[in-house]
Amino acid sequence: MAVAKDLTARRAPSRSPAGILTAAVMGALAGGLTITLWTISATIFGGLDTTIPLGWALLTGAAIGAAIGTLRRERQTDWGTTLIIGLAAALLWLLASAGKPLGLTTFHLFWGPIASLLALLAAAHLTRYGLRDLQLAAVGRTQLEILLLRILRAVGFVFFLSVVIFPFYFMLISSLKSRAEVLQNPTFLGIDLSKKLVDLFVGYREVLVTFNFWRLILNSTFVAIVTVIVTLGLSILGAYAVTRLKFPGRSLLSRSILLIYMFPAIVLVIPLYSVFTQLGLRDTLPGLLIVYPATTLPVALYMLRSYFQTLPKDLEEAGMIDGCSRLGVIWRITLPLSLPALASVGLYVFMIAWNEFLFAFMFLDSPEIFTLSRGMVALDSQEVPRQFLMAGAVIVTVPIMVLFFWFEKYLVGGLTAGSVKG
Amino acid sequence: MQPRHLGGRLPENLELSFEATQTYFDNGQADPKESKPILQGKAPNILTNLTFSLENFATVFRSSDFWPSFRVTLYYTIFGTIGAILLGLFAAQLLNVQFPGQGLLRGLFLFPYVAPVIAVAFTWAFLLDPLSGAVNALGVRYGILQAPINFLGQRNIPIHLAGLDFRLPLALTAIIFFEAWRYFPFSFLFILARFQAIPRDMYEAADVDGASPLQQFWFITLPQLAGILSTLFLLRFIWTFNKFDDIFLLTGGASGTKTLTVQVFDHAFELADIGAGAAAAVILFAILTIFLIFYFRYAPEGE
Repeated sequence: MAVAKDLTARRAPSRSPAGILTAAVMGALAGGLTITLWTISATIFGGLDTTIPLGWALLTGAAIGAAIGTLRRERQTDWGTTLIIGLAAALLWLLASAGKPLGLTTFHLFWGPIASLLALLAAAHLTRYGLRDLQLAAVGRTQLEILLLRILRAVGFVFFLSVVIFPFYFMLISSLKSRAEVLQNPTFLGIDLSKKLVDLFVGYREVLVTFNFWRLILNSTFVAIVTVIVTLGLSILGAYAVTRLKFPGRSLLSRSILLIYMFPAIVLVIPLYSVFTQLGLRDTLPGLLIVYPATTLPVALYMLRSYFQTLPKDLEEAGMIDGCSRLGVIWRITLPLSLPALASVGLYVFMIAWNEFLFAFMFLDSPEIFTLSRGMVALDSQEVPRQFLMAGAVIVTVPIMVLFFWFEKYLVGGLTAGSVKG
Repeated sequence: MQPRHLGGRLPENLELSFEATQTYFDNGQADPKESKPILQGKAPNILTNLTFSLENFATVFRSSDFWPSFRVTLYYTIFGTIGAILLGLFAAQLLNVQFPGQGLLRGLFLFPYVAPVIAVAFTWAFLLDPLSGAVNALGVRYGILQAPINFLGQRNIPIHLAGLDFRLPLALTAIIFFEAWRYFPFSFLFILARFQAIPRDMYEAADVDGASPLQQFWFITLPQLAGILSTLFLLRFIWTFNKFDDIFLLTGGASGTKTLTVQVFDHAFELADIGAGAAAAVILFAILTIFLIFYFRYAPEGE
């Protein structure tokens, strides 16, 4: 960074009133953030009744910031000093509230003293980290912008992490809570550990056994795997043809792949509904297995085409000279070279088929061939408790998440290569 | 959620009256319930005959909610697209630095995008529930909300801001936020990939010239991202315009969230008029074609 580069400033005094004010503002923001997170966590995970002591948080944070700004040496505050400042602030905070930290209405050993101590230590550390390498002796535009961006960054991390994790956490926790427990304390989102395991997982048992979700898992898996096999088989041939073979209308075909890819499903569903009803394909798995590969094929073609274009032609030509047929070349040379691409396309198609909602919803009427998405709608229309629905949601989500984390690097590569629709 | 007519089954009620004459009983069947009714009907197959009419289009255009739903669609598409791209840009900016756990975070950030829509839609519907949803409960507890709000079921909410009174379309805003939440990972990945292709020495040169971080973002990063941002905008615009599942599952098109796609569904399956539904679909596709022409004209080849 530019800041570390100008060496002359090293000899200048490392603080100024404006610098200490900046540090105090930084500290106040850090304190506000960590104290707010602490009180909300105490409510959500600890089930405690809290208020956010925002004024006190800002004030304490500002004091921490001013102390850290004053005790800097050569643009850094060392670890020990930061720790002592944080501890001192926590001690004062405890004394001021006589053992019951501000914000909590009842005493609780972990969520009270321990958690508030952690929050204030975190505030001190955040302030130290936010001010690192900054030149507080002469606060200029660049220094302020760097500080502003660091603050935005911290806020951004908190924002994105909570926004991404919280709904999934809520889904999981709600699947373990009865309606009475939710109504009793709707802001408590922890697990009641005093319950027996059987009672905790009652939602899962009901959904899997009474509502036959074990069967729907098999259906969904079957549909998704067949879709992957059919799509891969067809798209390998198609993508190969578009990249390697010369035939009239090649570029038109290549472009129209993209066009189909932007076609709205709701427009397709009406003609398919009428035609499939007349052909007797509606409410059958084969019917669904015609629609799914058809909708995933453009994605697969597009992704594989971009990958095949990066493969060298020479190898294939050498294979042809050695007497391989065209299919032999694809089987022996092209496919082994494109295994990573095939993995990511396969995973994508699996994900789309597993998550698909509209066609399953419109086409399937008989419970024994429901996919999980369709089963969830059926569950919803039976007015079951929310706990069961959330257990169902967890059952639908977990396989895709496991798969996704397992093969993350393929998925990320595939996504950017093929711009997968959503 | 209010009860809906689900499953796309056509609501058909036939009332038939029968009269059993004496000859029927004379033939030896004492209980009329014992014989099964035989129903037969004959009609020309509408899919294979050649009679056409524009009546269905007239039905669609004449229906009172065509233009409102056109406007709702535009709002949803424009704000949903911009929201998703802005969030994606912010998230990409956060992860554009090497640090331990970066890969894990990148995976986490993709969660909303890869999770099944049915699961996340139900989860958000419960989170925003006015009676026992966590969002309302927390908002009321910390005094941010005076009373629980039915985010997905209330059409408008009056807002007083700086002396101005206006009505915020609440349910529409909620589904726009959902759209931005669910699809920001898509733009995030593309922007992150593009970030990593920007040559580092551009920033080093800017450092030497004394450019501040915001200046660097404005004059180096944004121009470098212009291509990918416009492509993303067009792609997401088209896909958001086509979106049906998310809206249907969250609100069912109620309380001012009926987009054109929901309109197609309503005509075809809710009102059981396949013809009008198809006409609405054709209209939807005609509008989409305009965007597609834009896309193929302006999107750089190979992106």
